[in-house]
This record gives sequence, C-alpha cells and structure tokens, in this order.
Amino acid sequence: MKRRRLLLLAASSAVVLLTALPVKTARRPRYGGALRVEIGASVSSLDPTLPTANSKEDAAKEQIDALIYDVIEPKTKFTLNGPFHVTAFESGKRAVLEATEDYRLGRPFVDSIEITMGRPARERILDLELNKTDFAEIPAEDARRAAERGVRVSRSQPDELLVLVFRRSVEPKKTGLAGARVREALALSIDRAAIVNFILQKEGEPAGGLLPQWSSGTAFLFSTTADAVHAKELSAQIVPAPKIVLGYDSGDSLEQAVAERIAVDAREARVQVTPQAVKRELENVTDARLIRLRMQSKSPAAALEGFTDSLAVITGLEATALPDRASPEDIYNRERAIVSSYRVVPLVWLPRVYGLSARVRDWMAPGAGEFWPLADVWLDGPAEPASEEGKQ
Amino acid sequence: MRHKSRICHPLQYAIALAVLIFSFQLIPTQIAHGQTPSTPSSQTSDQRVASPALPTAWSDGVKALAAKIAAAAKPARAISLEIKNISSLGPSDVEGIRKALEAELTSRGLRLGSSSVQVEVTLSENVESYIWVAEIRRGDDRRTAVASVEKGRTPNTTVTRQSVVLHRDLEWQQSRPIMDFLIPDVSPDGRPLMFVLEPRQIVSYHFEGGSWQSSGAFQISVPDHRPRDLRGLIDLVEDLFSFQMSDVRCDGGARRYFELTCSKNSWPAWPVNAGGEERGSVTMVQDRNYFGGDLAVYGEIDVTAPPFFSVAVMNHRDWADWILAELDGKSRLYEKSSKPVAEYVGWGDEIVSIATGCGTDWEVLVSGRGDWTESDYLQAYGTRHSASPLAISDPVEFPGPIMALWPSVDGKAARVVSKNLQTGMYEASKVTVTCSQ
Repeated sequence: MKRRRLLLLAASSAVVLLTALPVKTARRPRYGGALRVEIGASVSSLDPTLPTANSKEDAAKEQIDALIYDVIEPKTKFTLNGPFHVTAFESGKRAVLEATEDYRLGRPFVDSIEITMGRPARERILDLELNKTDFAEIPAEDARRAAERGVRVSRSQPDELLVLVFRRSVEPKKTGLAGARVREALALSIDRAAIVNFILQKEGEPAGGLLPQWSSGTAFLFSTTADAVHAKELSAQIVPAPKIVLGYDSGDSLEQAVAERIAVDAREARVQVTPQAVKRELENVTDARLIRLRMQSKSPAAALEGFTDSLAVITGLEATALPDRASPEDIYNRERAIVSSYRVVPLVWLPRVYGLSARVRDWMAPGAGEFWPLADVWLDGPAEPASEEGKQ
Repeated sequence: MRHKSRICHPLQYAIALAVLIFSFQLIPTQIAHGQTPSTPSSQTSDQRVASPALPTAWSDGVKALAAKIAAAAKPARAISLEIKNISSLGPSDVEGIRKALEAELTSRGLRLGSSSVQVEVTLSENVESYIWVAEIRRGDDRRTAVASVEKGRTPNTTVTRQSVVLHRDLEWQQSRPIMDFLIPDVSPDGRPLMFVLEPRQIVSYHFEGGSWQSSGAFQISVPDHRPRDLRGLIDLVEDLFSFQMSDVRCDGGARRYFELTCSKNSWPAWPVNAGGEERGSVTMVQDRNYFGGDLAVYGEIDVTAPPFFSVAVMNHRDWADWILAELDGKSRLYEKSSKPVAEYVGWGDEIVSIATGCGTDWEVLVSGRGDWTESDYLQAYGTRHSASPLAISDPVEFPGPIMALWPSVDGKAARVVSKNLQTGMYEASKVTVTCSQ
C-alpha cells in the first residue's frame, strides 16, 4: 500500500513537473494561432472618445484600444490600422481581433486574439490552471496563490503606487485635525511591511517615496518602517483625539483590506481612522483617500511629474515643474518635499501580474507607461500551414 | 537480497522515470541559468585587468561626489566614511570606488577617521545609471548629495574548453536596431572601416582616435509595411557589397562612397556564404522571417528545402553538406539531397558554419534555446560525428538574445548581433574560434 502510494507520488511529481515548466523550443518567432485573453472588466465600447463607467473599464479599454488603433498621441490622436482589427464585438462580453497584414510595424505573429470580458479574478486563475486561456491579468495579492497552483506568472517591475492622500478641502478647523502633526502621526503608525507580507502575500514593496528604487535609485533614502512610539507622542499632543474618515474604492478588495489595516495601526497610535467604501462620485465625503497611481514612464523625472500633476488636483500641493534635464538630486529633493508635507503618504509599490499559458512565447511584461505587447508574442505549437509548403 | 531487489524494482522504475523526466525538463533550465548575463561587476573587473584605473565616467562620478561631500562637511576637517553597496556592482568595483573616493576626499584636505561628521555613501542604481548617494550627518543636521554615473559597456569575453576556444569581441553597440554589420579586411585609405545595416539606413564608420566615428549614411527607401521580425545580412564579394533585408536589397560599391542601387519588395535570393568567393543562394518567404524553397549550395547542388531559419554549409573539396535550423525547433543534416540524414535536437534557431582547421573540417556555432526574453549563448559543435555532433567548446554567453548570426566574409569567424537585455542596446560582436592548447 505504502509502495503504491510512493509510486503514485513519483508519477504525479513527474506530471506536475511536466505541466508546471514551460515548454522550451528554439527562439525565432513562429506565425499563427489564436491567443485567448480574459479580462475582468466589461468594456462597453472600443471608441476611445466615449467615456467609461469606472477605472477598471478605462484601464482595460486602453489596453484593447492600443491593439486596434495606431496611437499617434496618447488620448488625443488615433487612427485605425493598429496591429489588429476588430472582427467581432459584443458589448461587455467578448471581442475578436485579427492580425492586420499590412500593419506598419509588421504583421503580428498570432493570427487573432479572442478576448473574453467580465471574468472575475478567481475564474481567470482557474482558466489559466485548466489551460482554457492564454493570458490574463492577476491581482497582485493573488499572484502567489496562482503560482502555487501551477500558473505561469509574469510580473512587471513595481510601477503602481498605492498611496494615502489627504484631500485639499481638509482644513484643521473644519475637521478638528491639527494639520501636519496628525498626518505625520498617521504616516508613522502604518506598518507597510505587514501590508506587503500579509495582505499582498509578499508581492510588492513598501513605499517611502514617490518613485520605486529601480527607477530613481534613491528610494532607500525614504524610511518605510513604522514608528508607533513617535506616532503616539505626536497624537498625544492633539486634543481632542484626531478622527479621520479614510475612503477606498468600493470595488477594490485590496484597498479595503489596506484601509482596514491602516485603521488598526492608527488605533495603536491613538488616531481614530474609519474606513469607508466610496464610489467615484462620492469621493468628497472623506478626509483622506487611498488611490492607485500608475507610473506613466520609466524615467524618474517624467514619472514624478505625472504623479505630482495627479496629486496636485487632490491634495492642493503645488505641482512645481522639475527643471529641464533634472538631476537625480533634483528629483530626490522634489520627492522629499512632497512626502515631508505628509499630505501624501506612500504605502506600497505593486507590480502588474500576468498569468500565461505555457505556449505563449516572447512575452515581456510591459514597462511603466507601456501596453500589453501582444503583437510581439507568438504561440508555441504546430507551425502555421504556410510553413509546411516547402516540405511538399 | 533477491526479495529486497524485487520489492524495490517497480519503485526504482517510477523514481527513474521521474528523474528522467525531471532531467529533461531541467536541461534547458540549467543552461538558462548558465547564461546569466555578465554583471557590471565582471564587466568592470575585466576592464580593470587591462587598466587598473577606474573607467573615466566612474572617476568623474567620484570627483563630483567628493566635491559635494567636501562642501557639505565644511568647516570640518575630518569625516568618518562608510560605503554601502545596494547596486549590481561587485566587491572589487566597490573597493576600487572606495579607494578612489578616499583619495579624492584626502586631496580636498579632509582627514578620514573618527569624526562628528559622519558620511555614509550608498552605491545605488536606477533604470538609467548608477546613483551614488552620500548622506552627511552632523548632529541633527542631515544633508544628501547625489551623483549619477553612466553604466559601462559589456566586455569582450573568452571561453576556453575542450578542443576549441570561442572569443567574443564586442565591436559596436547602439540603441537603434542593428540588422547586421561588416568590417572589411581592407579599406581604401588604410583606416579600418565598418558598415552597420539598420532597418532604414546603412551607416559607415571609420576607426579614428581609438573609436569608431560615423563617416556617412545611406538612406534606404523601404516598403510601407515590413515584417515584424525583419532580418538583414551584409555580404561582400571582391568590391561589390550587398546589403540585404527581408524586403529590400541594395547592391554596389561602398568603400569610398555609397554607390548603391536598391530594389524593394522583390524578395531576391540571399547569398549563402561558406568562405571563398563562391556563393550559394536561398530565398526568404514573403512577409515572414524564414527561408524556404530553392536552396543552392556549393558543388552545384540545387534542392527544394523545407522552411528554415538558418543554414550552415560545410563545403568540402568536391561536395557539400548542410544543416538547416528548421521551424519545428530541430536542425537536420542534409547531404546532396532533400532527404535529411541526421536530426539534432537541443539547438537554437541560429546556426553558422566556421572553417577553423582545428582538427575537424568545420565547426558549427549554435545559438541557445529559449526566446527573446532570455540571455543567450553560442557553442561550437564538431561535425565529424555527423549523427550526433559533439559540443567542442564551452558556451560563450550573451546578455540577451542573438538576433542575427552570419559567417564572416572569409568564413573563419562569425558576426553576431544581439540585444543586451540589461542595457537595451544592440551589440555587434565578432566571434572567433581558435584551437585550444
């Protein structure tokens, strides 16, 4: 009985190894095949000029649009004749894109892309496990679980910043906050390592500055460790005890978990934080908010300018432009100035995580500001029919 | 004993099977691990073997940082200095920087030792450059100084093993894609000459003052839409150059001036070179990245070839055989006919034959497996045992995929275009094969 179990174990280990490791063949791209893609959002229209219902649809639509439009200037000028063209579209459900033979940068390697919309994360991961799809985005917090279940996982460099921001309208008189001291006490109370280790399952990095270490090279100069003792000292100086309503996106489970964790940490420092789910149109009801900022460029200067523009609208911070050819020192000083205001409290850096089937080749996780490079991937498997011509 | 052996028998089979399958899966993985790109540490260490001084950019960085530290430390005459490394620099690099920084600070009148002014230097890096940061603390006062330093180039590498030595010389690197490059043996004015074929132009360079200087460019009129995996090749027979790409070809003179005639969308035959002035020919399949159909090799052999990515021709006195790296990931050996006589697995898509005279007639250089997201290597195989060619060198590593591999004009070396995944630069290298001792 024991032997049989060992036999089964040995055989099953072999099968697991066979399925878990991607197949290796030679490297030059092959043409042909249909790439199956699943996304969580439901995209109602591919017209780039029409508005979207939420940020998730917006992000997904941007990715699909990049496949079918030749983007001349992002968000302003588009022409058709992208690497793919739409051959079928069911609003909010599915889209089929076919390779454009005369695309100016070369015909994509795959013949078509079949996009299924509205698939929740759990089902996307299951479909990856069952080889029912070739490509899907995975929430960072689910990446470890997916990898443990045999899904081939690809991660970008961390380029999305989850940040707590105090809104522009929050004035000490109105809310009873003693300004910078309350914000500093809250910032010092947050245990970022716990957010990364437990909520994100070690996916991502604690953030102290507004740029990740790989981009700026100076992120290590910003502390990411909690200082509960100093936080308590600061909050003790404020009477009455400060109360903060912290908003998070009602459809974002990660933001919810982080907001709840912040409330626990803040309580230790005698700051009362009340997490509250909010919809986009009701953002103004909270004192502070969790938001996600995605880097629009790998360049530290460009990324920081993009962030400061977004943050200026919410927090009222002055969006001073960096000098031309800003040096690393200029960039660091600008970051330091923003973070020292405690109106912006960086929390964690998140990578974008993708699940891939074993047959997807030449996949490179897109960098900051880049789109899914699906025109560059190719599918391992039987060669396209044309390639057989010479054998006849 | 027999009883024990009988009990273990099925289990041994199962374990053996599992180990066998595991090994099959691991072989490429191990190779991939062996392809770890050269780190800046090895790069700079290698550079320093030839020259004990720091690279100029590093010396400049040290000077800039020292100046900032000295300014921030004033009026103190002594500082304590600590250096921390969180970049990809290796210990020998860090030691070199530390010594240079200490010397620079001392030359600025600062004494190093215990002091109330503490300076902690962190060697960091970002996506663009090395970032060297000094934190200067004096009591509660804390200042920060930053210097950025350009990252260096990939070194030349030599790999010795078994019966041949592979040596890679990095000739040129640039951010724009390189299709192929060529350094003719002789130039009209005696100055070394190099041509770099890019997707839309041919650029000529002359070697002057220790580096290649651009001396001319020829713009190529190209079709509106082009293959995504565009391929290119430069060939030279006597004084006639041929600059070939998937969808356009330019022929003519180029030694003194560009006197080229180009034809686009004509899908002309590509030359097949195995040394000497004789050329075979092969045709690229339209809008694709592979060849197929008519293949002419030496000894007046014309065959219909299956689709393939690259060919290695072994030209003998009165006959030739050839290996095709085919689309199914296997390479096959052919002798005089369209029927393969041997099949090789485990090779990449880029192969080229080199005549070195190291005991075997020809060596075949073979790229690694994987895809364009991984590092790569070239390894030499002997062709004497045609049924199962043996690796006769260690792999020479490339920090990114090999995009093009062609024989040199004399057939005794290989031209390699690769993409460095660490720097994003396209690198043109010459790989030579010499007999080991």
